[in-house]
Amino acid sequence: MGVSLLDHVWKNEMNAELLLGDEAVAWGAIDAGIAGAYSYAGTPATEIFETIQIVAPSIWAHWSANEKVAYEEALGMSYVGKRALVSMKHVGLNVAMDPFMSSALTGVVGGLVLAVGDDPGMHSSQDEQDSRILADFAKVPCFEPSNQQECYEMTRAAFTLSESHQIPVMVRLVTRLAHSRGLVKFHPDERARSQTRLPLPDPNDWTLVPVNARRRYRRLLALQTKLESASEASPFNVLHLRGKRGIICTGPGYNYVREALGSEMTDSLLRIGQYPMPTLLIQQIVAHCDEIIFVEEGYPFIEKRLRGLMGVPGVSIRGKLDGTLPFDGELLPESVSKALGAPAAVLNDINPIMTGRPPQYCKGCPHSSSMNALVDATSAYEEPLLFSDIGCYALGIMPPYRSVHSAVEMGASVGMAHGASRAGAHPVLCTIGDSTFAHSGMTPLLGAVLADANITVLILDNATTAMTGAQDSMATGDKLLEMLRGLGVKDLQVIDPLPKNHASSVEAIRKAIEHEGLSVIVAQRPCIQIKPRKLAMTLPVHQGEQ
Amino acid sequence: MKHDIIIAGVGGQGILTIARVLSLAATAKGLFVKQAEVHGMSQRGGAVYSHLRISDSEIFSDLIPAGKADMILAIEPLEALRYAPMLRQGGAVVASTNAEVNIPDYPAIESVLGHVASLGNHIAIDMEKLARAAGGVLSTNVVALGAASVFLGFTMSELQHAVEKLFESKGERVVQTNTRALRFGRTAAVAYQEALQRNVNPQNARGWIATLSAEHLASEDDLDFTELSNEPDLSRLTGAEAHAFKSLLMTAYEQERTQLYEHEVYRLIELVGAITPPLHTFIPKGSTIAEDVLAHYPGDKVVLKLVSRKVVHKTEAGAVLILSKEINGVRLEIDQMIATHTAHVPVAGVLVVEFVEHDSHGLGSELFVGIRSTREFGPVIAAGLGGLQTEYLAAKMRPGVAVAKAPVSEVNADQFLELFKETAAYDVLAGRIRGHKRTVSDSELLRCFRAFISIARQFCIDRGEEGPDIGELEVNPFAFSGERLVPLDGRGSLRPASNSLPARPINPIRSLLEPKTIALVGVSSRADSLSRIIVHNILACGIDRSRVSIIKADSSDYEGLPCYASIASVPDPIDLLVITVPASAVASIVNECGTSGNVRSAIIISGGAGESEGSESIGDDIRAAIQRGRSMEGGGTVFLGPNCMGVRSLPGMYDTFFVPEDKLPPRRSRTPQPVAIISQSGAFIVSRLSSQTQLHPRFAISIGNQCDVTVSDLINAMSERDDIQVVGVYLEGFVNLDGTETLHAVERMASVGKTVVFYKAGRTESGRSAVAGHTAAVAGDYDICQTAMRSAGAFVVDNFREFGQAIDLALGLSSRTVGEGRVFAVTNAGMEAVAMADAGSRFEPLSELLRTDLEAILSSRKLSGLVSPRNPLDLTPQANEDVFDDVVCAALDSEEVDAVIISCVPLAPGLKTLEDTLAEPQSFVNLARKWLSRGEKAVVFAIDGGPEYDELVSRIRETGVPVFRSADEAARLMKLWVQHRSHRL
Repeated sequence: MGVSLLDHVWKNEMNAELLLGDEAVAWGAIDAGIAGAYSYAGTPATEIFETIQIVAPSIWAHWSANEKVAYEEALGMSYVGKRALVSMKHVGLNVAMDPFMSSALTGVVGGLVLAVGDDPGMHSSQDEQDSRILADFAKVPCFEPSNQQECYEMTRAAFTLSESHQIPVMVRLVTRLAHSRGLVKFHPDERARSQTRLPLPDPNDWTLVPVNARRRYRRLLALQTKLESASEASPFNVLHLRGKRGIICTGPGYNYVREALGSEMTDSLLRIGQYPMPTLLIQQIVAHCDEIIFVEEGYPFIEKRLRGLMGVPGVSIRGKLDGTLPFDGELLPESVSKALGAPAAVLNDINPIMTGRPPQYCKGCPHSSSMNALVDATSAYEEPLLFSDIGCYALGIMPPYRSVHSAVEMGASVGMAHGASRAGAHPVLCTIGDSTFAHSGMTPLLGAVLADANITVLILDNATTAMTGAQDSMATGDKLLEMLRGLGVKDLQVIDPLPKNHASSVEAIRKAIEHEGLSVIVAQRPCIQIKPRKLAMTLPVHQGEQ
Repeated sequence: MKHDIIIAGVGGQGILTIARVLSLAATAKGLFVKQAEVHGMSQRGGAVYSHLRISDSEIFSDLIPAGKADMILAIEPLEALRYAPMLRQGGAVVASTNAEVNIPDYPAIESVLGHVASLGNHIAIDMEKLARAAGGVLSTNVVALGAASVFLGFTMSELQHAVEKLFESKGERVVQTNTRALRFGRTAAVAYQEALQRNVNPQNARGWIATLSAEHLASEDDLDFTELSNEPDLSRLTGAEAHAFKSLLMTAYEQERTQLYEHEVYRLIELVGAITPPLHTFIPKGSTIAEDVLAHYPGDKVVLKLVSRKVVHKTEAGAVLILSKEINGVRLEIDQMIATHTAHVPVAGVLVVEFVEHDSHGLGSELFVGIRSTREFGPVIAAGLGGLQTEYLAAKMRPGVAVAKAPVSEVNADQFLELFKETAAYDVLAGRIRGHKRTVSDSELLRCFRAFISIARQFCIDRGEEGPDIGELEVNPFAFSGERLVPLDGRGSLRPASNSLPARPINPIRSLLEPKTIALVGVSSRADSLSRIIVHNILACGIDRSRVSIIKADSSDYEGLPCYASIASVPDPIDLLVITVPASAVASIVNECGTSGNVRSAIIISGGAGESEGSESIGDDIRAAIQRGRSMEGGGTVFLGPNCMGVRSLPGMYDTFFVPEDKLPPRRSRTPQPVAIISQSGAFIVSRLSSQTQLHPRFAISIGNQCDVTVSDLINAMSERDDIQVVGVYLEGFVNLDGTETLHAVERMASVGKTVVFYKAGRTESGRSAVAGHTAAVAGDYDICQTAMRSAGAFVVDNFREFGQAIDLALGLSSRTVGEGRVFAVTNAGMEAVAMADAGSRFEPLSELLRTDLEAILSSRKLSGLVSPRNPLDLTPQANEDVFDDVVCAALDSEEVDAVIISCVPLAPGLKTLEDTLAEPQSFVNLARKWLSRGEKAVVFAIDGGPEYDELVSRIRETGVPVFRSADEAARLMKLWVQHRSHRL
């Protein structure tokens, strides 16, 4: 974690700090007086929660088993009238979708803000979905900052909006902003809010049996007009009418527009930072211009709405849908600059000797030994299937291991293995980390146990959530073994993934494969990054950044 | 002010710290800052970067637009190149040269650095080394920042203030290290820029910066550019190359491999010597070659080679295939090769190598070069005829002819090239023999040797925590293309190199040789015990009894000598303690020596202390106890042995050899020779003394297991003694790296005009196994020992008999010249003349001048018809001493003769060779004296006769002239002596 954070003492000074977008959201939540923060680690949102953990010890902040649980815990805190922040990465919201959708109907008591980190460009994710669409889907408001100061401001505003309209509010960041530093000035805080509870709600409002749910849904629909009015009046939605060319931009897209066009702008500009989208403002700029260029980070969300099926007669609408900007990947200053017709810089060629440097297992990583054992144990079989999951071990797809045949989403490996074995494949193995297992692996394993599926589940227990920076794991060590026995696992072996134990590890895996029915092997050895992190307190700063 | 900086590196290098220091400096000046970072999965050893934007006006984009960065600041050179498209025209590049080689296809470092330099305004320096000089490699990032400062609008004090602020929570030491790192980086960058200004090439500029001391680096104002030159210094690796090298070794080590793959060997030699391997691509098992990669290969053929840690001799294993360069065929064969071998051996993949057309001239047209670490001599280098014939030729050809070899501590590349020029390989390669033209230039060979020696000196040594050591690294063969070397196969292995023990202090060794006081521990009361014989022998040497004491707990008197209960209770300091306790009790006695501080030296006679099976732990205990003492002030006690007979020291008046006097008469009446014999075997000494009766050395030392005092220590001790002229050494093995120390001791002896006669036993060698390479086979421990000892100036002999003769010869001839080594021999027997010619001394044909002189002598002695003047000269049995005298004097006076062998069958009737005639003026005894005084030339005798002539022999010996007992031995030893002396000159 950043030194600026460690140095930032728990006090309110009206000075500026150089903060990550994530850190600014955290400070916004802290200064809004939250009583609890909830999360499951995931890039690029991890540091929101971690910041609160580090700088605000009085706020309840413990990792949750998964995003669904995190959301539910936050919702419970809101129920009793305190403010809560729940943060996750975009695909985490898929996991938490159920409580998220329902909470729009129940509404909230204490302010509930959901901070989501989207990952356009898939720096560290399996897709690049746009969470604004999910906010729209759930009919809840969404803020979209374009710089670090706005991360702070909008988080503060989100809590106010949430409580005043009794509705959960989303703050949507993208990787580029989440992991970029800029100067942030603080406002007078409302931390005292964390000490007060609002009155409990009417249980009927929160018990979504059909008769209540119908009523609450109508309430949600009725709320939309108010939310849209709030957007129209929002200081985060800014319209400048100038030339006949108009630019509608959101999030970091605004930065790239400013970077490309400088301060002497002749174009009309609508900058959107708060949703539901401000219909009147959009109508105004479209009426004023004959050409509209959309610069949105993520999906062409607004662009698509404006274009509709028929387009707008007399107005040329440009953006991602017509290829003015690439549909996939994150926005770049040069792609925006090109879209706006600004002069291009002369670029040096990519050097012909250049070669990639992909991430790889750390030196001494236990996963590397596990993968080696897996390869050797299965090499004698004609068609071994090696399903895997989300975590560092997915690096096993690279040579020399090539021992990963799938990594789909959290916990997928166990269910997929079960399915594949039912189709007659053998041997079928899956690799899943301890933290991923706790997140989403237990339920499919329970099914496999009951069906005695002929699969081998290799749980790589490195005692942490390694890939996101070594957060605590919920299912590790002896506790994991107890959990497995509790789930009904009978054929259970433990190996120590060290190179010197290679032969015995191979033997254990072979034995498990040959076992008719479900086998589980736990490879127990802590992530080698855990120790350095603990030592980091006494070492020069950059040790801690590993 | 505006700075858009891309900071780049590999996960874990601390690039964010750089960003943070600059951000602090910027915010302190009220500037705007934006800084984009990379988190998450991409950090795991992958490429990482940060965009840092500093400006006095508001900044919008977190990212720097492509082509607009003002600077790339990279802690890794390849990472600097990665962001080249981000750099604006005229932008600056600041890069560390320390390559992080964690990918299989890392390009050649020279090429990476060349491309960095081609980006223009750049600084490329060894930041890791600078950081180490500043206090630790963790500060490499701050060095980078210091270097970048030459392009930045911050003062050093602004940056220093930011560094202090960032690190203050880490304590004063960390702040100081980083402050220094900042300064060192700045100075090195200024120096680098200045060097380029002076048209020095980047590599030499870096080489020069590497020589700057911490004082130089502390200030950019006092740089002294006089040492800066454009002369390349290839004797050491620059930081970038060293770093890449180490990473590669580390990779193999972490994969638990002891064998290096062929492409890794290529990479290593390419790193150090700019020897370009053929184009090659490693295809890991489970993948295949890309079409565009294959298309890059020149020609229409490629070579596939299996990459496996278990397959060393690929051709024999059917693991090499030459095939046409067609993508589907190549892919199919790659898969097949892997599939075929996977069943038997672990397979890492396949190497696809360019098919090299090279100049071939049949046998001996390939070169082999290898290095290996040896236990006794440290790293060694060998070079010779390459290809499959290497071992065969080495075994069948005379030593030194097939293969040149030397410890790298003793030679540089130029000297090794001179050694190599003596081999048959060089004759072939340089086109010196019929039917061959020159295939490789001397400068190319020199470059190659330099590269290998450089690797050996830096990596075939004990590197401690630095990383794995190279056990062996060789290229066999190198082929040639246009006088350039082209490696066609390479192999290497990792093995921990030996480390040496702390040096022994010299003063206690002097006490060991001439002790003023002696104490004995472990004496037994039994009459026939070894210890009792030792006590007797010591007393018989005439030592003052008051200087001898006994340590024996339960007695007050032993043979009239005072007894003490313990070492500590002996009132006077003990110069020498003789230990004869049982092996199991030795360690505690050694400890007692340490704790009492009362013992200067000790001899551990006791055996069964580590040298035999089952006693290893006792040996370890003793070693540990000795080393504990060594760490004490003054170095503690020195120990000779264990498992030795000890010392017979005439100057010290003591003898611990437990041989009863009647079995080996002490010959106390004879004058001692200025000779010391140092032997690992006590039996060797006593049998030499018994059978070669002329030997009467001042010191005879049995060194046993050399747990502490080593053979080199004792040679060194002898080199400083005026009463020793010749040291004879019999050795079975050196302790770790003592071979090198012994070479230096031998050189020291030679430099003061003394001779070491050296016999090495034990030709069966360590280090040979099925997977051992050619280097071990052709430059084994024994070969290296012989060659290196000879080069260092030792008189190396091959058998026991020669050992005694060589000592005689060295004693007799060490003060005499050898000139050009032209030997003249005279005899009274035809068979001796023939035998001497056969034995190989350099008998030059007579010149007209000497022939005329000899003819005159023969004619005056009436032998003209009978004897024809030639060399060796057969005077026939009719010749008497007068004829010998005339001839020898003529030879000694001749300018074309450097040494004379006088050989005679003493049975000839006319000779005065029996005891009663030896006193006569013209006897050989008196003639020997006369000839000796006639100049400085070497004169030796050969007297081939029975015991009747022993007196003649011994009387001649007394004059100082060496005497052999057969003519062929004399000729052979003279040949060796001449060779030995010419080596020294």
